Amino acid sequence: MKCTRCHAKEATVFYREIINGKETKYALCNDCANEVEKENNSFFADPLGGNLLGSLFAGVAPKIQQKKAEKKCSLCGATFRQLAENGKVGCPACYTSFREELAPTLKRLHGAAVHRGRAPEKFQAKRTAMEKIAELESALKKAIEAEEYEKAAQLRDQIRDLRAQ
Amino acid sequence: MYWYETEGTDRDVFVSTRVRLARNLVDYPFEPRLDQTGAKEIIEKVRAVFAAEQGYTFTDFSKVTENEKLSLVEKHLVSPEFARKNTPCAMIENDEKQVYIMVCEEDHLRIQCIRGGFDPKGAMEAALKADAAIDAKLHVAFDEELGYLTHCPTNLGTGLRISVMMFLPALTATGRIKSIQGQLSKIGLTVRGTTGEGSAAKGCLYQFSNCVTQGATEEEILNNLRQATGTIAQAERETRQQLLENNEDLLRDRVMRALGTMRSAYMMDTEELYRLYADVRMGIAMEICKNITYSQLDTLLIQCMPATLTAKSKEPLSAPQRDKLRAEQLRTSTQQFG
Repeated sequence: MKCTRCHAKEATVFYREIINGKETKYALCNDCANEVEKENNSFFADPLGGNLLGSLFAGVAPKIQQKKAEKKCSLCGATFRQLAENGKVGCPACYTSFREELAPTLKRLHGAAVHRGRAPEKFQAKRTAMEKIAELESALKKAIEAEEYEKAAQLRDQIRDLRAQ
Repeated sequence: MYWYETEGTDRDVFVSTRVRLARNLVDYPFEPRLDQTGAKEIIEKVRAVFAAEQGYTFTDFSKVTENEKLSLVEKHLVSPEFARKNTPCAMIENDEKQVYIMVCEEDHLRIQCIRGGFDPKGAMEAALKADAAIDAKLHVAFDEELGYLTHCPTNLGTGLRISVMMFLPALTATGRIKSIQGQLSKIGLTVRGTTGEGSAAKGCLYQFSNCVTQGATEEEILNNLRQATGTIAQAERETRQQLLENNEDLLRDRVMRALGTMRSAYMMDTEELYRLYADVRMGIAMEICKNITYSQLDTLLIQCMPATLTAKSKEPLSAPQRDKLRAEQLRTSTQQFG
């Protein structure tokens, strides 16, 4: 498909814009995409500013699309380009399949955040164990510094047992 | 009892509190990749979970009439998107009529609890009880770093959206609501009118919700919303007091005229109803209308919504027929209030 702007080169960047329900599709070559982006910042604007879910992946999408367009989700078969077009993932496994590609969008949405809220019971047990290990490791470090080697050995064994679980 | 039938806490400013948890099952894609077979499997799995729990009722949503679906939307019990679906979906409600689980909405599961007044803790506990039942028997999509995995990345993490519906006539009348709206995004909250994204909220009803769902605990999200809405509530009450001190006669006149119109009108559309509702509700808060409670008025507003009116009449109604029936309902109910 030829670029809809210069009508000369092959289109490599595909972009769908929805404003007030009106949909416009763009197919641009790499050069035109770069020029348009420079000319008009709003073309790949911050989607949250306009609350346009369809362009949620804007900004990161065009560049990654070119490299990763053919990579598919292991469960649902969606490509990252399809995710970028819809602003939504294809299945829960997409978050694993496209972890690297989704990272900039998630950072933009939620900040550099890691989940700190509730977890399913089986994950909660693991999380509790990890917190206990961190606590024991801190105590182990202090014990070594204080040359309390007997106590340090006990702490080391406790950590080993927890890790084994 | 439905949320609007209960008095709840701080009903002078807080109309309702809704907690919504987005949950999904591993091994199933989202729409449009979720086919009918997959959707039916999810529905059957969730149905089986709640069949084993006490106090829940399952409804095949494809068998619910269009009007009944719209009535559920008017009561804020299901989302408009869910009501519009034409693929397999189901609804599970608890006996208290406060927990509503939408199965195969945008996410595989949307667990929602709505309660009257300000009660995020109570709503959260009821939603988490349903969540625990699902967690115990089904494999919920979760990532240790990202949290609960959702169809839209905006819900990722806790999957939690808390929405507090507030009645803010004084802040609306004085224009102070606009400066509040401008500040909300800085603290991770958003506001919209009850009937959409428009700035002019019908009935002076505004819905405040958290934007960010990841990186904070459920308690932190809840406390942030509690703090912000508490400040707004205080500003609303102070402004009401100022309005009453400076314009008491005018306010009394406005409230009693609204009540008078409700008691005598023969035709009424929803636009007018929302205006009168706001005036009378303000009258209850300022103790001008002493014989009406918030729950009576909120129930009346719901009863007079188009689809709920039509559901009651059990036959299709034209807009003028609805306006007539609405006025009739208002006359009857306000006479009963005394």
